[in-house]
Amino acid sequence: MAEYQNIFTQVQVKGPPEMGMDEDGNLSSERTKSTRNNTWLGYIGNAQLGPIHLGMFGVVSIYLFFVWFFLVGFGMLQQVNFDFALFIRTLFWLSLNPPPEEYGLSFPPINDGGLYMIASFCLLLSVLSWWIRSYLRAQELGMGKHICWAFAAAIWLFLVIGLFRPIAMGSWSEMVPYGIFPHLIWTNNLSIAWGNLFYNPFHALCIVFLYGSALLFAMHGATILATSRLGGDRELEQIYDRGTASERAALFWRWTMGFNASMEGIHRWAWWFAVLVPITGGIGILLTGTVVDDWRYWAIERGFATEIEYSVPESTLLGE
Amino acid sequence: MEPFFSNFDIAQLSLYLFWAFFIGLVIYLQKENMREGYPLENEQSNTAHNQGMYPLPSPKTFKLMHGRGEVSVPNDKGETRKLKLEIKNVANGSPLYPTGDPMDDGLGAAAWAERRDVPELDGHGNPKIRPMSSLKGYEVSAGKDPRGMDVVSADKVTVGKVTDMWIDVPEQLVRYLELELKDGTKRLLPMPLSKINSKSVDVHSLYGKHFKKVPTTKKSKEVTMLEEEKVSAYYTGGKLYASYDRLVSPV
Repeated sequence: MAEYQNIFTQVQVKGPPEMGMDEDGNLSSERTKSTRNNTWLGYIGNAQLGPIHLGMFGVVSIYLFFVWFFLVGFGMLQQVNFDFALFIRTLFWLSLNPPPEEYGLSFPPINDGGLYMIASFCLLLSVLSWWIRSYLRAQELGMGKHICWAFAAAIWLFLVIGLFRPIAMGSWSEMVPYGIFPHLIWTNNLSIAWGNLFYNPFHALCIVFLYGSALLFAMHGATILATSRLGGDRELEQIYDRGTASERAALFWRWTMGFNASMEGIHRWAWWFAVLVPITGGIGILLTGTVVDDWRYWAIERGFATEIEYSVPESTLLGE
Repeated sequence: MEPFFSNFDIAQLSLYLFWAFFIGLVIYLQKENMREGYPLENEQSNTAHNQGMYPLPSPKTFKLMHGRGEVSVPNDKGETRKLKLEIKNVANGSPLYPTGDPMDDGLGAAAWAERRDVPELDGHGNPKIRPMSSLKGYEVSAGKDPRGMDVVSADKVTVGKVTDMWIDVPEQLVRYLELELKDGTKRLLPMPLSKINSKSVDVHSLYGKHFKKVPTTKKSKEVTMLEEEKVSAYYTGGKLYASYDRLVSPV
């Protein structure tokens, strides 16, 4: 008979809503009062939706996000002359674009990048506001600040691309357009303009940590599911009262690859790998165009690229 | 931007600084992961000769909630169990052999750790896992309700019926099915090791004869972490030990 792999919840139970930790009764005043049960979510996790905390920073953040969102939409509509059907058809190719080079770091006319700058300012305040929210939520719940420091790493990259590097380059035109394909084209152009970002060592490190994070998350998720029959998913208690679940998880990896993590430690590995993605990426972008103007030439100078690159053996190139 | 000397520019300096940071980080991370299972021991349970290149981290202390005291890791609290294993080959890394039934003795695939013999608590200090029959306001909201269904072992023996579900209250999920055997006694069955069909619950991990030896709980409405260990480990051991052909390689 086939064994159940514990991917989906076989039978869901529902009790009185779990309203969370609020020993003094102070925290519930800023949270919504009711909860909903969604059994589709319940098949893969917890079915309860809510309560959610509505604080000042959350509301401000969401409001500013929607201002940004509608400004971007307006800019896109301008590109199709407000023809809504054309807007829908070409949505992925539309964008709200940054100002052209000639305005430098001064505020451009509204129709020539000014709207973009206003939208960007809203997005910046929205993101920072959400960061403050993430800090305050953790503080109120008596938690460590690990989540908000990880978010700060992502914000570092966001600020490098959108603020620090354009200032260092002397022009807001270096900023990224708000549009699906346009922002991808921006990425491609950046690499082409600055000598192929693959030779940027921080770009390479960023990729290593990205692939590593994906790998680690798959490993960890699988390991926990595989030990869920022994209560391995109850990680907190396993950390200070080690059970056979943590022991088997560690031994699996020790016997597979020669070393292992602990139930707490694996989360430290995962946190650092994830956080190093935007940190190294941000450093790499900050150096691009400011310190280094051709990464491939930079690599040739340091001996890890050659002038001529062969992808096939030289003898076949001449058709011999 | 001009390099500092020869080709050494800010980009290269940044890279070298990063390498230095990263090496320190890896050392820190590896040491943090040595709070459990170290110092290494050999098969005779003596401190192993080769401890690897990383020193143990200095202990850190967890202050537990609800008056449960403190735990420091790493610590030298070894196992107190006398394991019913014999050494047949002194070469390091050779397997140890169970002297009796590994499932009954809690060895190998059926091994359990010496956790605390108290129930796990929720944030408010109440036991986390409770029988659904002792809770008010709980109902099955989706999926098949297994209560009343036959429990069928891997060798197709009906060993009993599901009488209750033990719920993790704060997380609102089923952790164990409670079944009543033919002799009227009750056992717990970990949810991940049960497969609920339309009319019955399959348990692949055990054969019919094993169910009466599934460890029991001291109290009828409470389960401690040590009891959970023993119960889960027993079923898990059956995955490898329930019948001889499970041990033999299919190749």
